[in-house]
Amino acid sequence: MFFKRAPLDKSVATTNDTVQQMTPTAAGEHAPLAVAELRRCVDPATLGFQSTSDLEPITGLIGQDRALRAIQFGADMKSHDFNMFVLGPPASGKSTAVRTYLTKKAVEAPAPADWVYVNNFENQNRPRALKLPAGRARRFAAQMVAAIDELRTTLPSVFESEEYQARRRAIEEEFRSGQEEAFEALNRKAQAQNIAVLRTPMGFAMAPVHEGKVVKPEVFNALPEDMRKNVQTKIEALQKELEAILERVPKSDKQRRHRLSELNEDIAEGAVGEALDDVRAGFSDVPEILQFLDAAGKDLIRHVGLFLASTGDESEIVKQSVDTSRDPRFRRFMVNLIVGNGESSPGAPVLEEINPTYGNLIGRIEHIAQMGALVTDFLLIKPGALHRANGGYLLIDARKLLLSPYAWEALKRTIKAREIRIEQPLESMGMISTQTLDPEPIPFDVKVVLFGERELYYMLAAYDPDFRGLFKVQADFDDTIARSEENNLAYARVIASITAEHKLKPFDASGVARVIEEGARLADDREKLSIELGHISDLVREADYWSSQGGREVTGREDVARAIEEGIQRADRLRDRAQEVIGRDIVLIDTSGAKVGQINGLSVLQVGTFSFGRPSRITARVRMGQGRVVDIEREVKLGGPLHSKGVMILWGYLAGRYAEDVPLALAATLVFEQSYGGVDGDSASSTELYALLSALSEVPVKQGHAVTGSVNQRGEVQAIGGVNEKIEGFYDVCKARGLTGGQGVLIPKSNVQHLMLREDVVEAVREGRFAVHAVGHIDEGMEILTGVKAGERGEDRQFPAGSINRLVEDKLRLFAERAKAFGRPRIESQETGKITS
Amino acid sequence: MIAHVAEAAEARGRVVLQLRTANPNPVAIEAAVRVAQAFQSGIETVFVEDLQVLDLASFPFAREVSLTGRRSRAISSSDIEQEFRLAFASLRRRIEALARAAEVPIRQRIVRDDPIAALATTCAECGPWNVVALAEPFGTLSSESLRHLLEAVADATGLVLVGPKARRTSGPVIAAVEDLDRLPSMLRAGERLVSVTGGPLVILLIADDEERLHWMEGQARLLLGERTDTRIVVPGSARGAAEAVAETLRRLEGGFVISQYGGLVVPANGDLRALAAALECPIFLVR
Repeated sequence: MFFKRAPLDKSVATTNDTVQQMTPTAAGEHAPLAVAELRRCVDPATLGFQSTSDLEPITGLIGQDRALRAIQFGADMKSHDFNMFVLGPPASGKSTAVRTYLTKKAVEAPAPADWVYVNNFENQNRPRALKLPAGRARRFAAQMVAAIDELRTTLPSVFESEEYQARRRAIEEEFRSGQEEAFEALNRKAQAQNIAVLRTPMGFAMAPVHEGKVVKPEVFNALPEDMRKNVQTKIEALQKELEAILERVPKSDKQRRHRLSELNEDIAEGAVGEALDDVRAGFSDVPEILQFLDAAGKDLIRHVGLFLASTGDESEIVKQSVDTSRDPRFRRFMVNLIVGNGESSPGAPVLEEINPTYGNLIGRIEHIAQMGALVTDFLLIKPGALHRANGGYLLIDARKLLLSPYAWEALKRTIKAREIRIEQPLESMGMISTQTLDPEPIPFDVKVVLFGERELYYMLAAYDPDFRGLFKVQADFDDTIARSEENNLAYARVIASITAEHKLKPFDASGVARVIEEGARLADDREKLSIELGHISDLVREADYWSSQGGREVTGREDVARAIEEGIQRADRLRDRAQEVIGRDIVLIDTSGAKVGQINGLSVLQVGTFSFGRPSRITARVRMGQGRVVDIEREVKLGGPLHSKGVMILWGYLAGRYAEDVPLALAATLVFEQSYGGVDGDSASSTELYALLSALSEVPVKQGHAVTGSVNQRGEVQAIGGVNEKIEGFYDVCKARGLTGGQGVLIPKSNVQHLMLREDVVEAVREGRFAVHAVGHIDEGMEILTGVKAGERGEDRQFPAGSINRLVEDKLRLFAERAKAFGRPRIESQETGKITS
Repeated sequence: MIAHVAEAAEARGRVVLQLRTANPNPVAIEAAVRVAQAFQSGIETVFVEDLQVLDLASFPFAREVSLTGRRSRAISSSDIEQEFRLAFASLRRRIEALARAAEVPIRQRIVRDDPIAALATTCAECGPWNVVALAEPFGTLSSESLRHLLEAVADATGLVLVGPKARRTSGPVIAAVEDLDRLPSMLRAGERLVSVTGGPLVILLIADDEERLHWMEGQARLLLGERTDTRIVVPGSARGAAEAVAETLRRLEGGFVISQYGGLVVPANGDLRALAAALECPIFLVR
């Protein structure tokens, strides 16, 4: 090296030497926020009621006019493709509100038709779907069972009657005697010729006989040839006759069966007609039913034997009658009720399918194992939610729907085709090879309402070309409503409805006020109220529990506070752990003193539903370089893109503010100390800038402060999220070490409106033991953090001497000059071979 | 009868089942097993290779016409012997399975002889108290043939037969009583059979005049006393004629009929056509 390196790196200096040369800020120049700005409380007296029992419960939507209008529109639109997607955060009461609205509307609508599946007697693999007027399907099914029941009694008795038996015997006798007579005649003829007809193991044979015994072959062979030939000729002739008689037997048997079948049909026709007439009379206005009954009647007559045979299940000793609807012999005549409307509740159905699997939506064809094989029939067709909601509304959670294999595609297919077609997805993929059905599709007329988060809606809209065509109505639920007297009262009525629904004790005004304050906290905005009704409902019920534990008749503020506190305690194990490691100096956080290039940043950790703030040490080191700020987090791939963006913005700020006319010959490193996970977000960018400015100016930063806020290239401090948790996180660390009064947090001014701090933090501020500062610009923050004036450029374009900015600028100029000197052309000495500048 | 043997603990007789063809009546075989089961006896199957059939097959012109009449072929003695062998092998397995299921001991033998002679020999070897069961239905069998059989087979006390319409062995056991002296032994046999057929015991009184019938009914009721498990049936009109008796038996839908040989049910002279046309269950014929 041919130049002496200047002692620039004093990033960890702790002396006040530099400060003593600085221009201090005036006392009270940067006053902390007033107590009133830290939390917006509700005065119970302003609510205008004593307890929620004075209020009329509210069950509909509050502050969701836009979503409500969308739902009204979607429900009124008759087109099949104007289905709804209700967007909003989970547990916001969307589905309850939508269901309540649709139920009211559906009650006024006419009940849709009933549907049944019946056997297709011509093609059993394609069961028929029959439509019936609302409320009549169940009666139809019962009447069919009754008709078959009746036939089970009447048909056997008809077939056991003397008339039938006599006619049957006459037919059988006619055929039997014909055969027997022919056979006996042949026997007689054979005997007359001394020929015997004998049974062999497999048939008949003939042989000459003498005195009733077959002639021995040797005796026969001793006979004259003429006689032998004569016998042989006789036997051959008789054999031909025997063959003719025996051949006639199957034909005759066939004729006999045919005659018996005609007789059976003749006998059965009357009984069947009579049994089905009752059903016919009840459904004479439904032509499809009459057609079915005609087909069933013909089939009943054709299969009358089913009523005469015993079931295989019957015990030989004790014959027990099997229920007709369960008797496998009569399944073909039963009715499979798919949809029976207008029975339990009037109007159109409003159905919520909480498990929208393919089968639960579209329906399924079940199978039963029979002799090792899977078989099915039309009675094993099970309806899905689409069947049950037909003619009404179907509510489905979009995420669950998308997570169920084949369900989403099947739903879209059904809406497009406007018919419910039950198909087995695995069968169509060839994964199951068994007997199955192809039931007739049922026309589909359902308004489908999907519920989901916004991200899901936008994703579907972006990636599924069918989605926008089929779900044309979006009902967007707000997460929050404006905080006003009117909405406070609405909130109170919501609490009243929750207490009524869950049969809880009423809340007094102070309890309601505390819930409203918590609603603002949940909204992360003191000007808003969260309408995540699931959370509010949980809080109200937990508060009621603590009220009961305390033996109170009315739930008050202390019960709500206890519920909140207990809820946090149940979930804050990790927060305690984080606080503990800081308290034991495992994670190094200073809360007193001052250091150059070191500052406390704040981050928020979310664990399940609980989030908490935690301070992190951020350090910066600077040296002469080629104008690069090294974000160590990014270099090791622990920094997210937003964090990197924030760091790059710092660079823009430094260059624009301090190096307008000189190169920025700076090399700086920034790091979140003891951070082993990822870092993202730009909420620490102002903090990193403060650390960098401290390092450049060599002015130490007060360690009793923590900072949050993002920054832009102009040095303006911008709003961040989780401001309350961050302040409380640092407060907890300071409190554990002892509050000194010199500790506090710097937040962006634009975040003041979001402040809904814990009551103990507010109390500490009230007592002057802690402070919250709102800053709009980096200069303000630097002054608070260092107690040194930041300084503005004067007319001479110079920052005042002794100001932070002047020190920074001077340092940067120094770097630039040195870099310039360092960068002069190098000449190689021919004599020494050394390089000089 | 076997029942008597069982009670007296004498040498036990058997049910001798005669088989002659490849297609015996299944109800006849089941009936034989049920009788053996009821009387806690065993079955002795006799596969008879009919000597006459074997003689017949020795003729050079011998032909066998199949049961359907559609096929006719020349046969030799060896063909017939093989047919017998195959038929009996198949039947042996079926009958063994049935007997095993009913827990009835079984012995099987093949005899080359005249069918009745084969029965007589087997019964003589099995002891004096046997029941003969014929596996072929008695469609065209005459009473004379039955008498001949009963005379020839001296060591059989009864005969189990089925008609061509036989289709069950479960249901009431009908004791067709024509002679009151036989009622106690028929009752004992009926009680035995009821234990395996699952139906009640029915006493059907048969006589050719009304006065006798009334007397028989009175005597039978006296004999039965307070028994509630036995029903007495007195036929109404047309009593006495073979057709009427057969029709009465059909209507009672019995699982077994117990009857005597040489009465109104099974006359000693004439044919059994009416009975064959009506009877849907086996008949246990006692001498």
